[in-house]
Amino acid sequence: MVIKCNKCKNLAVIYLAYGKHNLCIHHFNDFFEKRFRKTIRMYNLVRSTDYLGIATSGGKDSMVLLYLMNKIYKKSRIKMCALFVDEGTPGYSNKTREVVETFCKKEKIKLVSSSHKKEFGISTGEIAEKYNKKEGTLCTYCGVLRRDTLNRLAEKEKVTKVATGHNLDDETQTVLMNMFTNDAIRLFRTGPLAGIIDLGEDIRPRIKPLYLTPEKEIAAYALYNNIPFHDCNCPFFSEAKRNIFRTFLNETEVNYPGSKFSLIRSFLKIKDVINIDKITTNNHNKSKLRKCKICNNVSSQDICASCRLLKELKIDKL
Amino acid sequence: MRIKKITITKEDFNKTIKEILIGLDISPEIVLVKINGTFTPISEVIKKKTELEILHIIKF
Repeated sequence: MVIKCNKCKNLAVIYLAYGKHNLCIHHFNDFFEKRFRKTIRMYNLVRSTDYLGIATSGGKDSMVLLYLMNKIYKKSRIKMCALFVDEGTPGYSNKTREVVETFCKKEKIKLVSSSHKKEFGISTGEIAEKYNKKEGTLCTYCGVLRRDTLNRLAEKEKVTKVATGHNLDDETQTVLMNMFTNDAIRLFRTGPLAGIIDLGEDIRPRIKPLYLTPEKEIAAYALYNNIPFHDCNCPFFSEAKRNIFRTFLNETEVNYPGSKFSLIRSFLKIKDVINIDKITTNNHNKSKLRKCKICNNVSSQDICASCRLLKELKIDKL
Repeated sequence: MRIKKITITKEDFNKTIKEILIGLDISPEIVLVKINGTFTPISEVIKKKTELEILHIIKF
């Protein structure tokens, strides 16, 4: 039985179980883009005076984000640029860079990039040979340095906000993980406008326009619209803990469609009424933002995460 | 992108793609399906198809 679109008689290409919709490419695109715009509007993610830095890794999420932000804002007053961090992962980073560079050139988007090697004097490939596996996974090192590099790029380019490609799946996993580790501060920092409790002038707010978009639909949107993306996993990819939550949430979603939306909406409702000050007061030392004693960057601890990790590797921060 | 092709057996006729995927222990949440080069909803009932092309595109 060939399935037809619920809104027209064309061939359906996707079934959205949470709404019991079968949609054709045209109506799926329409639905997808409307939700994207609604998320931006509902959470006031973008203002007319903003200069947006779009964090772009070359993966499907960030490429769809870049594509849509460009589509929506290219003719508006809002300026934007793509921010790219080259981690220096052998056989991987050069490919992601190529995807981003080609796309930006074609769409005439300003590309601002840097690398771990340039910022910290060491690439992820070199860290892989040196790091202590007992201290954590390589993703911890790479993730912290990438975030730091992104902050440096944002500061250098003087963007007012950094947009990231975090999607509904990422966010539901993060909510559950933080609850399971009883990390209330980190839990309530997350959200469509990344919840930095005490915004310092050195930290750019993070916005997540794909916050309410399931990962599968992002992949489908990228494929249906021929948006280029790099689709291989990083060779160092290992997120054992997150994978457990990913599988659990995916199984729950198959059995009870709409569960991911329900979870994130419940979280946002709780976040709305929660007294964050009370949580931060009870964990005063952990939560208060201060300057890192080594590099002077804003940090929640006396020494920021990237300085701590670089110290472990016996490397001085540049 | 990992592409996996699955041949449908006679017992799978009249099942939805979702049911077939679950039977194969593949989560419908992590794949997109193509039949004869066309993206297909997992709610589609298979009648006399011989092969499913499954794109594993979500990180897992």
